[in-house]
Amino acid sequence: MSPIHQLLSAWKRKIFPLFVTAVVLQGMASAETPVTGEFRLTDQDGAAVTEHTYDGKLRIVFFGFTRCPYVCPTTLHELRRAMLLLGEDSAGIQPIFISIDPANDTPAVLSTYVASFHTSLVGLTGTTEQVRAAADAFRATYGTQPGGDAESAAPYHSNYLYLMDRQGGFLDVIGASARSETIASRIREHLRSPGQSPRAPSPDSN
Amino acid sequence: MGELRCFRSIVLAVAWLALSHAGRTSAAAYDDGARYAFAGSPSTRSVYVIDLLERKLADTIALERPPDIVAVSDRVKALLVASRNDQTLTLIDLSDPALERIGYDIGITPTQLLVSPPGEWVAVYDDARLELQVHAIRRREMLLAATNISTDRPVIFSLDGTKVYWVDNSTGSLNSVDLWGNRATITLAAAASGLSAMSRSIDGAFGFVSDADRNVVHVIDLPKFEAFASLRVGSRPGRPWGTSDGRYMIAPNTADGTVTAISTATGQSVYTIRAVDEPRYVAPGWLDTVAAVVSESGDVVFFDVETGTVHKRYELGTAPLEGIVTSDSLTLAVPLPGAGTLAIFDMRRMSMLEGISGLPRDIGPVSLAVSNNLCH
Repeated sequence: MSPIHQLLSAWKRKIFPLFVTAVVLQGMASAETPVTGEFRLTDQDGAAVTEHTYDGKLRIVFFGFTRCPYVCPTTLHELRRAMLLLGEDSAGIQPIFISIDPANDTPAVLSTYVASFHTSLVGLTGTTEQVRAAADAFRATYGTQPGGDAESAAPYHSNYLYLMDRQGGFLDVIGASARSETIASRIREHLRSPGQSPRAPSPDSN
Repeated sequence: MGELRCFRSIVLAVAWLALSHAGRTSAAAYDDGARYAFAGSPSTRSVYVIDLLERKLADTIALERPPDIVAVSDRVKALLVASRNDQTLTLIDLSDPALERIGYDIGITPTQLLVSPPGEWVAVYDDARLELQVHAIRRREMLLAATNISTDRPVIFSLDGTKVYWVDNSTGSLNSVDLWGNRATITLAAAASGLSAMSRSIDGAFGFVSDADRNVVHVIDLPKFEAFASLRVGSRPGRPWGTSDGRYMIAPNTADGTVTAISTATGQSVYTIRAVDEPRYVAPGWLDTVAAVVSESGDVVFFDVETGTVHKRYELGTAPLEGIVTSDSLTLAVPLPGAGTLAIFDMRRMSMLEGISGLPRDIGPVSLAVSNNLCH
């Protein structure tokens, strides 16, 4: 720490200790990597799709895999209930499930899986490279946990629901542990204020 | 006569409304578990309701007794409040705009309250009587009373809520008890050890306990209740924190100012980076790509979870309590009792936003029912 920084720190701690502020000592912040939401994948019917396939609808996107024992079925169940809570408004929403396990989650597997949650839920898969590119576009993370052989290895993955605008642009994130009421409430906020996140961060204080 | 009756009805209605909202600064339900956080202040005998969506103080709930410990359940839509000087657990109905409350005697004096991950049950620990109880919140029914439980660390539930784990540093052991009273013990270290509280992997399969004396993190197979690995980390590690995708457990190393990220995929440490003197806890956020390390003195350092690259550093100038990250991974809230403030950070931009001020100087830890912390 340089003498200037030491002086600044001493001033803040000793002369004005309760003045809560922030000082960026290392300003080398990385450029924020945007959530672009782009993808080129295949839906449960075998059709090639991109983010523009669903233009005109708000989308809510979730990454997971059909063999997931806990997080995926729980989240998709809450999403289904949220769609029911939205009533007629749900017609303007496109829920999308993107598999991070393309080796297992073929269009046929996805077709059965998504139909068990909601009629409008689409399931997307693709090549390993396509799925990785889609995950990167959402800054979604996934990989494989240790589990002995390949069959028993359990993937891990991001647990977030991404709310995207009617052109596929990023709007908001909803924690996967959120219940249906919260999901429906967040979607309604965006239905009321199309194209803009009502929770856009306020200007930095520093 | 009719006018008089009407006037009397209006007066009664106004009086009822005034009474039902006595001691409050607002009148609303706070049952969005991902939005509203709660912090108690013993000196003002109030619980402060923080709206993390609007980033403002939403309400103040006055209580008869000092709210020393606060917990919240999204499943039951209840705020649980305990005082250290009596044996009553108070439940406040967060779905009711009048915030109806009910207290019941639990026979012990709580020093810890912890809501189970499913949200139906609460663990209550009394460190003087060495007793742990588990109660069904909705029914106000005791499911378990276990005695001779000694710990100086937070207890933790299993993912399904049917077991409670605790570390006993007098014996160097990790222990568990299930709702049927069955107990198990693993010895992790020598007696008089420096074990942290356990953290849980997000699928509930593994437990992680830092060992400050041996500079390792013990990994426990929870279904088998066996320790199967000890991973070398930095000097005197504290309780590990997990990213919500389950990819990393991150341990703050209190003596050398570093943090160590452990990959759950490989069971190996990925990096140890210099972060900040006396790191107290780690708060992962923004889509599991960024984490903040918060120090005992109030320094906050943001780093890239994937690469371990340090990006930004802030000084709050006063000692913080444990913070929380919202479930959307966007907002980090850090209580600063000395300043009567809740510091707020945008984790996406790694920037400090306008804080929430006007809180008392003895504000306690913040409880958020649905947060980004899935491992504690």
